[in-house]
Amino acid sequence: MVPVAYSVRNLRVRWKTTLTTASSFTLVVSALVLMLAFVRGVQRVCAISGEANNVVVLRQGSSDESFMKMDSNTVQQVESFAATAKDPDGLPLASRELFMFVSDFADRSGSAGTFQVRGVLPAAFKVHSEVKLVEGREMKRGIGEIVIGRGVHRQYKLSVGDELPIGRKTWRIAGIFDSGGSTFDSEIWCDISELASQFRREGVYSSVVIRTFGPREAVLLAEQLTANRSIGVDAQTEPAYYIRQAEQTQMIRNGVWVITVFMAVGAVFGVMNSMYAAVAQRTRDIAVLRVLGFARGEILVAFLIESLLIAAIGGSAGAAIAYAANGITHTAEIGWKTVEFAFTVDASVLIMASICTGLMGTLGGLFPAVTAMRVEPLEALR
Amino acid sequence: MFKFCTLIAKNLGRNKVRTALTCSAVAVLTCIFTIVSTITTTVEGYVKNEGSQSKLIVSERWLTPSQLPMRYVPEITQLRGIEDWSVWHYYGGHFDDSGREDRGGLGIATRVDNLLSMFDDLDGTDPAAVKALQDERTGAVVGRHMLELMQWEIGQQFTFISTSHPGTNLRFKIVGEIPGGTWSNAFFFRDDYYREATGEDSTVNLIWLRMADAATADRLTEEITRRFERRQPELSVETEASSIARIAGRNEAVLSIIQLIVAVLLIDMIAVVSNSISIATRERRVEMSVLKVLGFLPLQIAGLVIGEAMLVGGISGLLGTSIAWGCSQLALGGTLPTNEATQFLTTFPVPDSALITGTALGLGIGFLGSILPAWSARSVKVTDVFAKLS
Repeated sequence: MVPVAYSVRNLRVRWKTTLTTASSFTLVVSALVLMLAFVRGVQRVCAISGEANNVVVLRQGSSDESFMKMDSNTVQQVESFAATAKDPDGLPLASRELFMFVSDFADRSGSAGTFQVRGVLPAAFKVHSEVKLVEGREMKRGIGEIVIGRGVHRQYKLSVGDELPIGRKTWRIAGIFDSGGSTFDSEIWCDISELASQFRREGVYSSVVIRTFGPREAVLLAEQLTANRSIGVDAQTEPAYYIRQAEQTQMIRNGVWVITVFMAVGAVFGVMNSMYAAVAQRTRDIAVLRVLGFARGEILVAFLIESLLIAAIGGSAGAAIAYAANGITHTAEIGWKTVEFAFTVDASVLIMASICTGLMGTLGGLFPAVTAMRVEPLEALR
Repeated sequence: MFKFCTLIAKNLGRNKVRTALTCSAVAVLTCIFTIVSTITTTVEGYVKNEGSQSKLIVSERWLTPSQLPMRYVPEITQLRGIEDWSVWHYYGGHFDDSGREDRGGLGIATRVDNLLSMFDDLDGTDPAAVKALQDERTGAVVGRHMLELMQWEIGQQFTFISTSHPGTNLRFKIVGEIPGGTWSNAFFFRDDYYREATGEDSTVNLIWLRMADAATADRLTEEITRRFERRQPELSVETEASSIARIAGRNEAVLSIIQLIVAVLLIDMIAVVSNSISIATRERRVEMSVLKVLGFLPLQIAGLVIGEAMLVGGISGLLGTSIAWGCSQLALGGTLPTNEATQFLTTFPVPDSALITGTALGLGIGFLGSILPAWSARSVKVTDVFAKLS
């Protein structure tokens, strides 16, 4: 086999061409990693949202709680199902919730300008056990207190004790909660009655979340509720509900791949150019190698290695540049909701980037390598 | 000059593989650049559209989606300075009972007598379809993308599975189509049908107002805001442009990434051209020395290199943009199959002007990509090159 050092030295000799060609890979791979990190980050938020023991109940025909209304009668019927877990006082662990988008005309964050407010009962903290207060305390009912998610705290730079106008009313922040990076982190929670009365939505609920005794019971309850025609609701386990929300990133994911394929084709043509030039410059070298006894296949491999090395140099640089975005938080739209997500450059993203880099390097080097392989030694040396 | 241009063209023909590869690379990148940048320019175009500065959207001040009492409508629309008005009722859901995300859409119940004059982005809709809408109570004009996806034809009926009004699934007769663009996943229908069928006749989601100019719009914004300041619910009044800007702002992360990709594509194109031209220049140092001996000035040699690059860039730019524009036309015309990949092309159709800007972009890329190689070519030292040769 032709020593790898031969390929490496050739790259070093033509370092300008090597770097210019590698820069195409750098650009393509950095863009790919960044786009995938965005999609992965948004998906991760949905994937970790929801607990397997919980069932989200919405009005029939609904896929999102954002604009749905259920009446008290329906909610009571839902809560009365036997699979509903009870708290130590024997009360059903059911969280009646009223979710609203409230415009923020002060536009503190300079971005969305909308608060996502969830009116809840005290049971909400028992049902959504992943929600933990990290600062302050739970809000007290009826005195205009709220608790805010970590995302809201970061985005609006709000702290415990601060006052926040929501609509015409000014609320006081009693605590900050962390839900482990789920969609709740981008929400403001307050007493459901106060919220309903402020916006004249008394007696209606967006959803009810029921705590069951285990994941199996949750699945069964979801099926029972959906099948029950007299109640007229759609129910699904919380993870299933959020995974469905994540499906909305499908279009973005498709877009990412379309863009990547186009960029990759451009980079492949670019590397082909460099490799063809390399072959043309080194026809005599190749002939000498052939005379020395190296087989055609070995020449092919040597040039493919060269092309893959260029891809590896450029790809690694691209991945390293894009890695700088890892962990950077931003907000994105999932359906109607705005959620805080972190760009996530994980192993799956890097593996995808590596596969793409390898493919681009191989495709770009293959045809020039075949040309090199076909060089006739006597002709070339004449 | 003619001879100089002929020389440039002939030079490109000498290494056909390289020229073809460079052209292909730049054309492919220009193609995707055109498609991606159309998204951002379309959004910016909506925001800057002068017409949208003189159109106001009245909504509930605090809550989304807005819901206004119907009694507000006559009170607002009778104000001085309003030339025309309309209302919107949202009716969201799915075009069939599969619940599939790609079959979801929005129905908008509205006044149909002034549909085309109120909403500029429905311009391409056939006036005959709007007339049919006025005659047929259950009529609907449906976005072309949805028609193709569902394989529906004009005259066909469908039942919309509503998620915004669960249990109230209305039946519609398709009387026309909305060409691609903003409303490719939506449909418009009569508000009287909506009110009768859903029983929701006490509220509207939005009120649209059209004024003669932006100054009148400003005056009315103040007047309406002041008049409804202490009423329940309060109102928010904004121009169509600012509303679009606000909605676009909600997708800031995606737009930022798109802008980044646009920049990356530009740099990538420059790198590809620069690399190719550099290789060509290095291979022809002897030839350039000969040209110098023959009396060519350094500037002319640089011009030769830049000319080659610009010619490659210009042709590739035109080719790439033509592919993007052609695909967009085929998608709009229904020749390309409707799927999530082609949806971009119908929602953000590539404008005719892109053919010119694409060519200009190619020329610019060629120029920028060839600056360094041209500099290197003009500095070729005849003595050094011939010394090496000897």
